[in-house]
Amino acid sequence: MNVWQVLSGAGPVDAVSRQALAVRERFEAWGWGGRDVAALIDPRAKGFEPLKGLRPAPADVLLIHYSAYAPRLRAVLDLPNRKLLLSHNVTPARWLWDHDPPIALQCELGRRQLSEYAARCDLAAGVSAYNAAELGSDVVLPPLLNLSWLRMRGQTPESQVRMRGQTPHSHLLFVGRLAPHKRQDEAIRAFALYRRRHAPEARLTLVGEPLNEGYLRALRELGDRAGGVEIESSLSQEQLAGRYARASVFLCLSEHEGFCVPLLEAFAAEVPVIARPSGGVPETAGDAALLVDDRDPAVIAELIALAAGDSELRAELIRRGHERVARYAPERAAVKLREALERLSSPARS
Amino acid sequence: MKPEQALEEARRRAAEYDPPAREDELDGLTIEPTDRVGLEQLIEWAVVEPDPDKVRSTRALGAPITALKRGLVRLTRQQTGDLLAQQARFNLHLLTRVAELEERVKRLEDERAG
Repeated sequence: MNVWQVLSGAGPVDAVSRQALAVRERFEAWGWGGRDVAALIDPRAKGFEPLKGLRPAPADVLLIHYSAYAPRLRAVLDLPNRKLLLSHNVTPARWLWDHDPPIALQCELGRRQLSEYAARCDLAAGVSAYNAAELGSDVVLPPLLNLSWLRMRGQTPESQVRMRGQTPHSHLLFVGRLAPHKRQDEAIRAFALYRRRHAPEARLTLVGEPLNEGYLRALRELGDRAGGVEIESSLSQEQLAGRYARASVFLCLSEHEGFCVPLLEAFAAEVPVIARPSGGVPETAGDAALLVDDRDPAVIAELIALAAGDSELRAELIRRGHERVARYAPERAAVKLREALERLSSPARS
Repeated sequence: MKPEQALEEARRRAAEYDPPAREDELDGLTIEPTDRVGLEQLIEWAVVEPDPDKVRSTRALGAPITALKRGLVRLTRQQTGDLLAQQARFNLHLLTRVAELEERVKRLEDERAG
């Protein structure tokens, strides 16, 4: 079988491109052919060809990864091949108008276009039930996650110290795009209260690519006012593993998540998670995170204090986190993807 | 403590905070819109007035090209002027409509707030 993967854009660090490369590895292991094309390709991205290289044979299947407004992909929908649309989620525009109107416009158009694209594909799926429901579908194809790059607790000098209870202060972490809907501003507010009330030496590390320079500047100013906040971008996988290894709590107050891969990364790195139950978060986190919908930063500050200091609570969250990681094992996700694609290419399809 | 008990415990502890002190601790820790343009600025931008001095060539020895470009601008002035007038008319009407809607929303919000 040949499966062509089609992306609106391919980059060196974005989650969808990494996902497409992981999927291609699986295809090759199964002896499947096809290639991966993108409408826009960052010169640093490897493994993708320009969209004009898309020349599928009639029996080939197209796997369209949808994560952004993609007018150039419209022509792909006209091809006679069987198509699977996999939605990775598009951020609602309302979060972005005040900080990046052109991106907000793209998101607005992207969300409107999504339903049209889904209707023109033979099968529409989401990486979570939340994403799939937005398309009126119940087909869920979770991402293929290889989390082996994360060093488990005890495998780094920092985490060995932390395990022995010698950590001099709490270290909070959030990984996600530096953008308004991720609510790093709320994380900073809750952290500021926690720091003043419980741990004056505590640190908060925010890792992610900024929406734009203006928003990054505003976030840095906010972090400077609160104190103890560091903001980092463009980390290598090894550097990111180091950030997880030294973290004592993972704090995610994002207002919109399609799946939220960093939750599973935190589970894999044995970092207790506090998260807002937005979008696909409850589905991904299950009972392994402390889910908090309260808007009061004091509640979140106290939850941080509990997650950082209560050893029984930490141990139970870590144990449950392992179960979530096992549930999203790449082998299981690959089986679902294969079934969906084989069903699509089967002559007996309806 | 079990994870299921943590949130209630956190709420109980947070309720013991002194609200004015907490407000004081969080004072100024917000992000204002970083790319929000006011109505006055939009009205200023609505009437497009291209600067003829910006018609130039950036190449080495580009003076003849600059002269050619400026000549073309003069030759097409009637058509581009008409185009700009149409665009400005549309922009201003649209802004007027937006301003009316903003006022209406504000009035309704005020009424609702009592």
